[in-house]
Amino acid sequence: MIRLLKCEYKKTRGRWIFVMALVITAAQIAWGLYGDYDSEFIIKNGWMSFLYQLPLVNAIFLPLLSIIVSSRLCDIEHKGAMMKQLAVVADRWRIYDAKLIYGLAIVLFCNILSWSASVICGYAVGFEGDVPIRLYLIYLLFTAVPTIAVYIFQHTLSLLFKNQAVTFFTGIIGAFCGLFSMFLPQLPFLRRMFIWGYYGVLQFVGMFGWTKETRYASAYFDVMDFNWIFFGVLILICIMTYIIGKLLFCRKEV
Amino acid sequence: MKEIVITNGLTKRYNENLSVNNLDMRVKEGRIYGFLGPNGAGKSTTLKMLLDLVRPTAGEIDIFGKRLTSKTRSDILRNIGSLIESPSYYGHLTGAENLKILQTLLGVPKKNIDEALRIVRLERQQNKKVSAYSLGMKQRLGLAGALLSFPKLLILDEPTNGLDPAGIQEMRSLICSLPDQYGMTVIVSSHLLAEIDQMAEDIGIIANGKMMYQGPLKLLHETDKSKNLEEIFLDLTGKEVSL
Amino acid sequence: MLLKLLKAERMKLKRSPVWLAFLIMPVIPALLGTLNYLNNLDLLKSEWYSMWTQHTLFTCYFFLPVMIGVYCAYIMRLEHSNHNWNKTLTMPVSRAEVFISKMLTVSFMVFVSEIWIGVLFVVSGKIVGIASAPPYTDIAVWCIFGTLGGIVIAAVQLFLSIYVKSFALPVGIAFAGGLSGLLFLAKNLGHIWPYSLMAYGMNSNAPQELMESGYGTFVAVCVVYIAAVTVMGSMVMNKKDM
Repeated sequence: MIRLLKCEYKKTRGRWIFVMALVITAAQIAWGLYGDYDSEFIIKNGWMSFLYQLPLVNAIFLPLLSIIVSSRLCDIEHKGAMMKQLAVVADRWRIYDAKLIYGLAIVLFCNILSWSASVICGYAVGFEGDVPIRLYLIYLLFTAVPTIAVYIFQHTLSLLFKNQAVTFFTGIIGAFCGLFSMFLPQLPFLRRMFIWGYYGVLQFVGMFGWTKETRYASAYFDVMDFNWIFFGVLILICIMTYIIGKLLFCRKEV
Repeated sequence: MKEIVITNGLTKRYNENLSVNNLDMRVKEGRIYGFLGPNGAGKSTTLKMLLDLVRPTAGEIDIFGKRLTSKTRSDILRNIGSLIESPSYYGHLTGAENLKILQTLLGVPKKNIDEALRIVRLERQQNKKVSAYSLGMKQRLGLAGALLSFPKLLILDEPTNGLDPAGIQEMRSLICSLPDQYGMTVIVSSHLLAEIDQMAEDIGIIANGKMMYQGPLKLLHETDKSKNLEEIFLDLTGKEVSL
Repeated sequence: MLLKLLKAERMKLKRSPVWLAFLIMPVIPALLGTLNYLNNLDLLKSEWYSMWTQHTLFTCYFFLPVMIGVYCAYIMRLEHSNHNWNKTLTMPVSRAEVFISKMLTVSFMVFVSEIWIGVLFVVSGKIVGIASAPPYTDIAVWCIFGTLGGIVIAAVQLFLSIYVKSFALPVGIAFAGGLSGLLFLAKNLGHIWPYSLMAYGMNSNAPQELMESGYGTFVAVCVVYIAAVTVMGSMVMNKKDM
């Protein structure tokens, strides 16, 4: 397996995958953290406001990052019809795993990077108090796991379909559904239907007391319930996607 | 006899490497011109320049008595059929659909599709997706595409690549019949001496981008009676090149 | 000759249901945007105009640019793969026309999706029961201007895909482009940045306001961009060794 991972690394040299991932992450950081930090409300509630806002940003960027990384990694094989070669020298399932681990590592690294950036930014701006580390660790977990689910799904699509347009369009439409479902908290079943919606399902900070008239005057953030049940469901989805994806890939004729 | 393709001082430089070096090519009308050389000698680059796929660094190309420029290219290309490198195809379409696209662009009658399919004997597989074709079938589809307009000039780059021995034999006799049957001139490249020996009347031997010999194949046989053709070829292309 | 090329382009896309994505995608904002509109009736009081924002906001910043990027990459990749440039460029057609025919093909797709967005908008408004009559003129203007702006994006993406054979990079750029579009709009430069033109034309931010720069300027800017990229694309195609 180590050997295959090394192989993956060698194949991707000069393909700018990591650089591209970093650029997207940089955009995500800039996008997510750029804002107006002057108001007292934000300084006071900064840490919580991040936990409230950033899931939305993640729901846009991380699925896209997953599509791009997985497609780029798998497309290398499709282009040179290398799958035929590879399938002879290594077990199919190992190829599936090696590529998955390699891609996930990149995506999760970027995930941690943007997470760290938000913590650093919080301190730099001077949010009141220390970072609520427990909440932030849970937030990291609740961001990483949906990303893993999305990545496994994209990874499988990228391997199964030679035509990468399929992967891209499916991923984009999925991300779109996920994003929209986050604006409809009244319909919780909606976001639970799509793996892309779990950034919203697992969001645990809400803003209350905001009205059009009083605006932020009486607004406050509060920690809601952690949705551990659906976190469990998501883990199950990950495992199922992984097993089904792997089976499909191993059965596919090359 | 009229010369249908003339190049003068044709040169192509990629960065520092001279891929084609000062090539003077003469192809006579109605003949089969074998373009012979080891892999990487510059055959494909030369043929691509004839087709305006690659722009020469220096030198001129005249085809059908016209200088190849951006103005004349369409007129010239209309009368050339080609099969360069590996065959071109859209894998998600059937063989017949692939030819239909070419037929539309060439503006030739629809019946040419059937005729071309018949010549390369792909009639029965014409409604299969090309992605499911074997390499040999793809190669034959490529040839059908090249023949589609029954052009005056046919440029075939390593056309027997990927064919089985029977297919190679078939391709050879097909190529040999084209000048008589349709009045075509054929340029066919290969790195195999034996193959060219069986098809071509005229021959150009290229090595490291330079033309080492050009003229009737018969004369080459006679240059040095003590050596066989293979030895002459090796002399010309350099001994380090293995065939 | 261009007509033949367009016909050929259409044939090449047979059997590849890429267009399906353009049919499905606008349904999502239509469904969910309408739901969102219904759930926020106390905030969104301008009926059709409020709903237009709900329908198009994410579409024109993120999703439509990315989809256009994918489509352009796909269309160019058909030629990049399996040595198809060798065949396409030895046909008796000018290389510039090859580029233009591809641009027209993508433009048509953009046009269709804009119309589809408009149709879905009117239908969902009627279903929801918005009392006033739909502002047909406005909708038509938004869709047509959206098409124009979308073609600008398409031209840029198609140009990129001459060089870049993969999907990932151009799509990444389209995505970044969409983001930058939002940024430029926020800085009031939406009318000159290629990636904001679509959102600007569709007036998704503030549908009731007329364009500050005026319709004429908008059309002129779009046309200049499209023409410039087309000329550049044709020139590059003409020079390129395949």
